[in-house]
Amino acid sequence: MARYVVQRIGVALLVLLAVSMLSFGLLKLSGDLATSMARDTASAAYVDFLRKEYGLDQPLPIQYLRWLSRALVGDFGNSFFYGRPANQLLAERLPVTMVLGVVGLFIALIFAVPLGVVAAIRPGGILDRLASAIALLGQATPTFWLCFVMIMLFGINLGWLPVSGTSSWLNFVMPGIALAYYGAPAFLRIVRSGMIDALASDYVRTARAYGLRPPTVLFKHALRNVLVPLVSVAAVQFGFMLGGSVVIETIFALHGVGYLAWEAIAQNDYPVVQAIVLTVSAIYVLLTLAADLLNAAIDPRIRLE
Amino acid sequence: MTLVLPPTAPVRRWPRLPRQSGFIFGAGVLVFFVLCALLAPVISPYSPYDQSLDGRLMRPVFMGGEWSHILGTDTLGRDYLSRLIYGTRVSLLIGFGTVAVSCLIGTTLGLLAGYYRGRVDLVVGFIINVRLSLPIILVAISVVGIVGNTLPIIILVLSGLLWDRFAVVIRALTMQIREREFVLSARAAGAGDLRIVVCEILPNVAGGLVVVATLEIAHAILLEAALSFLGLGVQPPTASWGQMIAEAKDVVFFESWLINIPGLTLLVLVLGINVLGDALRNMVAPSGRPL
Repeated sequence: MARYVVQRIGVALLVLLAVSMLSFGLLKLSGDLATSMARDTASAAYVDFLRKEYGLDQPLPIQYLRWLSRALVGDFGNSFFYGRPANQLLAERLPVTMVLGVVGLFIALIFAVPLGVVAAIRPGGILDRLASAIALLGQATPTFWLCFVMIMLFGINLGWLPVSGTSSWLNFVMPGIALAYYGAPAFLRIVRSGMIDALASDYVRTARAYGLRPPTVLFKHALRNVLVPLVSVAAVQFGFMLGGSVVIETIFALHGVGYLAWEAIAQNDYPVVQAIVLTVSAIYVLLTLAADLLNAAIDPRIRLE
Repeated sequence: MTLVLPPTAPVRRWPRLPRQSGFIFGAGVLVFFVLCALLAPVISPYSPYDQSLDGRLMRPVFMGGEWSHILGTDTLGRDYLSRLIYGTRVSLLIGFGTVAVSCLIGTTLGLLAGYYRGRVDLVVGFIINVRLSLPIILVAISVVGIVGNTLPIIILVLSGLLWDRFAVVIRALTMQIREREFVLSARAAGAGDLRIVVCEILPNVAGGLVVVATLEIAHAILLEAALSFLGLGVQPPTASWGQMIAEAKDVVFFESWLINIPGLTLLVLVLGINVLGDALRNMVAPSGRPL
């Protein structure tokens, strides 16, 4: 177990290092940073001063190391637009996106897990086909269109839900559904295929032969075995949702990280863009690491592989 | 001892064209949109760019509009049907263009990892890991926002983000196939690595490749629409479905058809491609396991 844990953490650190290089490269793509910081009216001398001041005249590897050493303690520099530290902005916006992600994950799971289970009872049956049709439709629906349809229906025509802002929990219902729509097909598929395997196994046949009631067999014996892949997929999907909420946040005016990213890109606010990309990637890496370790703790076969 | 020629890879006969409704529906939808894209100048009733200030926001026929503009006109008085038809070009160009490049990246990495295994596999696995930890939409809008939103850049950025499934699937298939007799005998006959990979393995992973490619085309088309919607897709006045929805945002509460028409069109195209992909998957690998 210890060996597996160390190995897994080592890989996660290496991935983070590679991601940090890519985020750094992102900033370099933007061209001469000194010029963008100085804005149009500055003199050449001032641009030169900025370049020296921020160490932009140094060789790239040195620039990267200096940037990395600051990024490690959460210092991503100041936002060009707000004039405040990028990490402060991020810390203000992250909770909104996190709440949205959790709501989305929750809705996706309570919808997809039961549907996946009933679909697996008779593969090819009517419920299974219904489930696969829902999954196909979910994957094909453009999120932004779905958002507008919901706004028209629940927000305007029925007037049940608020259409923008973050003043109450009701504000997270529609964005949560939209986000869940995006993640649910993956859960549906993993639960369905896992259940089909589990239901065909010997221990389920044994449990049935003992005369256990069908729901007990389904939920207590078979579903348990889907837990391991489900945890992995949930971690991955939660990471995807955090990065994929940009469109949803802009439509519902949820001032989360995605909205911040969109604003920052429109304003050429590169330090903020960089901080967001790096943070969301890091969260994804940590989530998948946590899921892997959790799974290794649940299932000894993984760590002994 | 006579030289025994290695038996060539069993030529996988293309499975009999199924009378599956999924295949027919999916292929039909795709062919329809490809024709729309190719014939756009011929079948569009108007130019997608001609504005008309006194013909703005005309309603489509099914909402009591006139037959001169079947799907009505947008906020600038441009014919909506013509813009929809021309928008097909952007969607398909990005879908196919992205997949062409990402397929090249992913297949190369997958073949390398599956064929050489060991350290090469570790390195490729690591690269896949890094790619997966980059949030697709965030990175795409960042790079496009910084470098510029031209068609080639969008295609390159999306390709750089969508190759992972090719790599994963091709790696798994290659690992299975490299142990098969026809590969072993090709090696025994002295075929080099390159020859084995290109002539023996590649033809046998092609089925999986087509399936992944189909599904990734749909993925790329949806991403392009999202980028356009965020104002980071192809530049106006080029017609793109995502952009049509974005342009109609301000009047959505009064004229919701402006959003529903491109939204539903996008849904039908992506649904068709996904259904086609699923049908192909069932043809290529009925058990569906490695895919």
